[in-house]
Amino acid sequence: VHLNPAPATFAQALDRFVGQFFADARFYQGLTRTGTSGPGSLLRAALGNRGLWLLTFHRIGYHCVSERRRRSPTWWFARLCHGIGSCFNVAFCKSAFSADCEIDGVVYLSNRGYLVCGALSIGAGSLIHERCTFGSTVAGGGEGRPFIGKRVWIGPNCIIAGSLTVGDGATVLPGSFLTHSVPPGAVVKGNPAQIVRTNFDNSTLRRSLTVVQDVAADHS
Amino acid sequence: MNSEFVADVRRFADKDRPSQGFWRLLLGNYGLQALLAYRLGRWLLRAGHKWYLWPLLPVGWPLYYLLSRYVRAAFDIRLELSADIGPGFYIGHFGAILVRCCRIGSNCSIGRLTAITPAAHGPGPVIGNCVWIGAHAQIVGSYRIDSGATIAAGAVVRRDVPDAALYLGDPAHVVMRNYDNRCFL
Repeated sequence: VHLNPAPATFAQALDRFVGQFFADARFYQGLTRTGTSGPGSLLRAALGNRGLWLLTFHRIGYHCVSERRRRSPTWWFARLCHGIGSCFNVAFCKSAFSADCEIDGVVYLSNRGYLVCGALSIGAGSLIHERCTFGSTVAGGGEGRPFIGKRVWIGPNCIIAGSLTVGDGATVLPGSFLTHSVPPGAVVKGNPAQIVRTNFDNSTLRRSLTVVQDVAADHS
Repeated sequence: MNSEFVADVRRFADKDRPSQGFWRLLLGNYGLQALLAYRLGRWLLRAGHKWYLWPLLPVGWPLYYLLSRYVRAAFDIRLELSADIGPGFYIGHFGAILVRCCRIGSNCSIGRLTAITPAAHGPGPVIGNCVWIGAHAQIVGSYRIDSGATIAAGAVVRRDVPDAALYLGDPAHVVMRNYDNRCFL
């Protein structure tokens, strides 16, 4: 059963893409422009966040990969946009996404960039900070790519490599190197990472972007 | 240009699809562009000692300057000319790579966000042949890493690495002895 069937017409695809872009922009507005509202604020959030552009160009690339069996003129246009967008991501975000990474809902990707994501999927409502690496591993583990669940908070400088799962609502503290899967709601820390707390509610962490400095100061 | 860069190109061709031509390989691999700038700079340094190559220097140095600035601005890969990198160097990914004042042997690989630099004042690290260094690895200080060692992703080297083993963690410690990294190097 497909929850999100492929859009049949160009109008449907465009409608879904624009709707997703505004949902992302509202999420970024809530995080980066707290205390402001209105269309002007939304416009500034849409234009001023490099992470939002990274996410948007990744969504175009994911559309190209998932629709690669039906090559319409729209597909070729999306492919062109993805080519330009990935150059933009390299130059301005220093980031790279593998195009087949599935991002379902709104996700925050850091504006500071240095993000390489080879994950298989990232769940809705996750916050991913700068200088993170997700991908397959060749040393110290097997081959494979990680799954990242919903409402996950991932601090800066984290490495998640190999076929492991980060459960829903988990918290990965800054500077962690994950070698095992993380159960839902757990807090992990360290290099190699260990579980320091279970059943932790990270909703306060996910509400603000400045809290990462306090967390990094506590755990450095 | 020189045999070291040819070895680099061979290394990248082995890692990537081997059938594609040189120009597609160069355009598709940011690490190779960084290495092109670095090898050009090292060649110009050596060419300064030969008087019959002096006419090339006024063209070569501006070209090196443009190339290295482009690589640094676009991909943030910094291979400084004070580093001595052996033939067959492989850079897996772009982003925040700093290699300075060190000696690296042949056929090494490094990942992204790695720093191979000396501490504030002092000699830099010395790295042997066929060493694999993962992403986020930090080798800061005058440490010696012997041939065949594997520094896992995220490892922070705080003392010498004397044998061909897998090192992991902060500070880096031995996880597996006699670790063979030839299958992914």
